[in-house]
Amino acid sequence: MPSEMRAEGPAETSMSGRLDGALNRVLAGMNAIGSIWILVLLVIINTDSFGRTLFNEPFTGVAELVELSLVAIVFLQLGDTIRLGRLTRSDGLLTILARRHPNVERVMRICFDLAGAALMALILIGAWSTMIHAIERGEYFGNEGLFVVPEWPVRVIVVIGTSVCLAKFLLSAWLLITGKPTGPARGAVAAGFEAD
Amino acid sequence: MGPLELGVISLGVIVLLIYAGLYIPVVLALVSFVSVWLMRGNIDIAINLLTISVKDTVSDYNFATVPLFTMMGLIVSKAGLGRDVYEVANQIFRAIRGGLGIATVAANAIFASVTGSSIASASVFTKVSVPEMRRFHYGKRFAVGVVAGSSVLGMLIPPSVMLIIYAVVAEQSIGAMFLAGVVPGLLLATVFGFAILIMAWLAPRFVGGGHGEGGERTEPLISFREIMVKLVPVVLLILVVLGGIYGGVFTPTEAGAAGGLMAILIAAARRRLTLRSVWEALVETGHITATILFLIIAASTYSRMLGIAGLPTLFGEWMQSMDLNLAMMMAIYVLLLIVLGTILDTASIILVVVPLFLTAVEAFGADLVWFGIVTVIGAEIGLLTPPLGLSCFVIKSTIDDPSISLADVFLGALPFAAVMLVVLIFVIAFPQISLVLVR
Repeated sequence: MPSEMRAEGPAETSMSGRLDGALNRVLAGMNAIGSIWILVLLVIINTDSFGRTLFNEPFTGVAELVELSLVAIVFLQLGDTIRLGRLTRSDGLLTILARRHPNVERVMRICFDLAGAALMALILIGAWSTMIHAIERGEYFGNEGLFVVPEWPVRVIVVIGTSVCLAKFLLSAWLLITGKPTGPARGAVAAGFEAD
Repeated sequence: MGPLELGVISLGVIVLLIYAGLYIPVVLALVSFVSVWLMRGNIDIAINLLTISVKDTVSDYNFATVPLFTMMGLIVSKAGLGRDVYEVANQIFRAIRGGLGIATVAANAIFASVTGSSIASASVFTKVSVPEMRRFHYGKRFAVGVVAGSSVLGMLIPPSVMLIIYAVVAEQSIGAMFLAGVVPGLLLATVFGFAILIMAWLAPRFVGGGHGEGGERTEPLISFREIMVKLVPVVLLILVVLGGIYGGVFTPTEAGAAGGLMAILIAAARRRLTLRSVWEALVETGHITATILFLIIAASTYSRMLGIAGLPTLFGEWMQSMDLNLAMMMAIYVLLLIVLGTILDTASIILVVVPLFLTAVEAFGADLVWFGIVTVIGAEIGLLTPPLGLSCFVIKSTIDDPSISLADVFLGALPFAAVMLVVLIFVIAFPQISLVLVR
């Protein structure tokens, strides 16, 4: 996985470079938490379905847990997919430009990172008030009396996840502006796993 | 400017920005945001649109199928199930001219029933069957082309992540979509097989490969007992996952969880699993899940924007007023899918196009399950065509042979893309092909 190694790379001495290195470690850490969470989902869904079928003892509240978990998993993993350049894009034009007009390509990449940052900032506005709302009112998922999960932890994760994505896009744009791109190799899309 | 004009302009801007290379979810969410802001003249409504999409879209029990089936596919790939099925198929077809190609198609069709993605199939079979075909002097373009072509079976034969995405977008049952993919998937595999026979006859130099000569090609490679050992895990997985869903034991989400667990157990039993490889599969699952679900979140802002602009309704009325019949509309639709396939991946195509056409198709009284199968096959043709044929890129990046260029992969895949188009026309003309198991 060549793209995974990018997190280390040669020691950066510049401030922005070191900041990027630190952020990348945070993103990889969040990815690890999200990955474990997926395994946990697998376990609780199995516990529920086997418990219900074999022992007539369902695991109450699994549907609510799963629904909340999915949002959390997406926002735990999103930053790392940005770091690895795995966010879906059609990079045919950029690849051609990189060869013929590398400066145009660089300016476009900067604009695209800034557009990504703008979207994250807009999502953050709503995610922030959703989080405050959930904390203040003590919102929960599920049916009272049967099974309830507090909503706020997931809303906090969404805010943190969106913030690191915002930081990643901004840093990536800044590094492109100052000429120290750490962007992933082109064509790394979907080629990150080994088979057999 | 009214909402309608703004909506139409937004569509144009979206296509332009996607082509320029901006991240597709960013394009969809940001353009929809600006568009709704301008339509309503109120930024709070636009921010609210994003907030609701983030909060509610993927909070759906059914979406748990995406990580679960992805993980199952990655684990069975790592456990070497792809190689096992290929060896069995090889044994059956190798006496025929072009047999290794047919074996690749057959193995892909079987492997597709335990994996949810074409990408996994493409990467597994590039490693397993391309070297084998090269060893027997098959043409290099044919060898990679057959892998690219048959990898699309992964998305059509259940479980399939693309069928799940369509099911959620079009509000159809995942179980029904899975069932509807079975017959078209098997039909496509069969037609691929016959196409290879015809190619071996008409264009022997393209296909290449010896036939029947040399001792090692006639003596059995593996014993009957070994064949059973190699096939049992796949059969077990099919029984648990598809049997579980249609036997009424599992919801699709539960089937995904049981399948994932089963895949881990099988891999462990065959001692083909290390903690490290499970971890790699999990991390990869996380990346794929985040990519797909975030795309779905962004696409939901887009389809809400279309709704606010009133585009789907207008589009339907417009189609009706042009005196188009369903066949003509489907012709336009397939053309659009193929054109979009040159710049978009399958999930993006489904998410961009389906919300626009759904109302119009319903107005014609067409079956939405059938429409989903047509959409997935049409969008999958794009996986094989340049410049953004994702399957072809995966093959090129997985392959060790520098003498095989990306152009070789695209050229090799071309006949298979053509075959898909023919099969797609049949699937459109005879809805029974997709609906026979469902209705």
